[in-house]
Amino acid sequence: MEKIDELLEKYFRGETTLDDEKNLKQYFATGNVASELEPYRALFDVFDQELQEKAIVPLKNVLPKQQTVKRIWIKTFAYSGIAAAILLTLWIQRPQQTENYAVISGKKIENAEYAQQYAEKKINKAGEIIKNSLEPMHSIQTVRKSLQPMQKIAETKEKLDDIQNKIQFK
Amino acid sequence: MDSKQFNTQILTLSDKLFRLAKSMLRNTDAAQDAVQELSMKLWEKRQNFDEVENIQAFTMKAMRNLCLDTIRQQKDEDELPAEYEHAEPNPHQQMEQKDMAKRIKDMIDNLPELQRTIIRMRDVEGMEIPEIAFITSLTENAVSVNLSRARQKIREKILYEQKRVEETVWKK
Repeated sequence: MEKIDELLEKYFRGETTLDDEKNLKQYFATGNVASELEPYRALFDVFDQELQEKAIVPLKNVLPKQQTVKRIWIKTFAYSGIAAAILLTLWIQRPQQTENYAVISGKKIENAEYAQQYAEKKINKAGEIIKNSLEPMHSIQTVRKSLQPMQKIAETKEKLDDIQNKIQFK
Repeated sequence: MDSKQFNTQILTLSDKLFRLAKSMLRNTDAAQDAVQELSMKLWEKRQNFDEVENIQAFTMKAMRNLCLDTIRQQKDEDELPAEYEHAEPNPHQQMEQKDMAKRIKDMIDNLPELQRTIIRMRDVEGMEIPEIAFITSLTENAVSVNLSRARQKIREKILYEQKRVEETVWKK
């Protein structure tokens, strides 16, 4: 007790070391403070309280932005990551693709092989129809070919008329 | 000093700088402004820190000088912060300030600027006398004298308060 008294006197004279002051703070932080020293307890409490006081805005938040190359790269990676995450989310949540099916005679046919065979059959049939419909054209061409000599006769007749006219003029 | 060193060595002092500014300016907003202003200045001059031996002492000294400039400017403009104007509590406030801790804070705040800065550097921040001497641009002896005076004044006020409280209790 006497030691704390002495230490406290030294403290108020400004003669204590940091270690002495640490001991005093520890003493007043405990519950067993002598009644005559009790008034000083609040003083050391205040020092402890004030040490807990923090800057309202941490220093790093008030500094100008450091536009270093590293920071730009970090930003680029961050933004790329965000974009990739958004795309991935959209891809995962995309509407499920509708299953392949064909409608044959008003019926939904999901058997791809059957649908393909049906389609091929129909295409072949269509091909035949087109082929058949073009046949009269072949007949016309045959007639045209057979008429070609007749055309030559007409041409010859025109030439003969021309020659005859020329003879008459002379 | 690069930005990484600046972060590790300067930014970690922000709370100490804030407490020093608040102790000197006796105004929370003004203290925060001072921290911001100093941080900008230090950031601009960070290249010069390589030659500094004790970054903490250097930074605290820079903060003290900045606060002294602010105080001088306030005196010139005859415009004191709100907290300063009412630093000395009126009788009504004294009645309300039942908490001894609050009264002691006010006692420290009402000390002369140099004394309250020194007592807080020593008793709150736990700084060595040579470091305080560097920050305040005083001799070590002058720091010890001011520290002793500050503590003695606080002691007298605490004892006075104690006596006043006991007298009030006896009267009742």
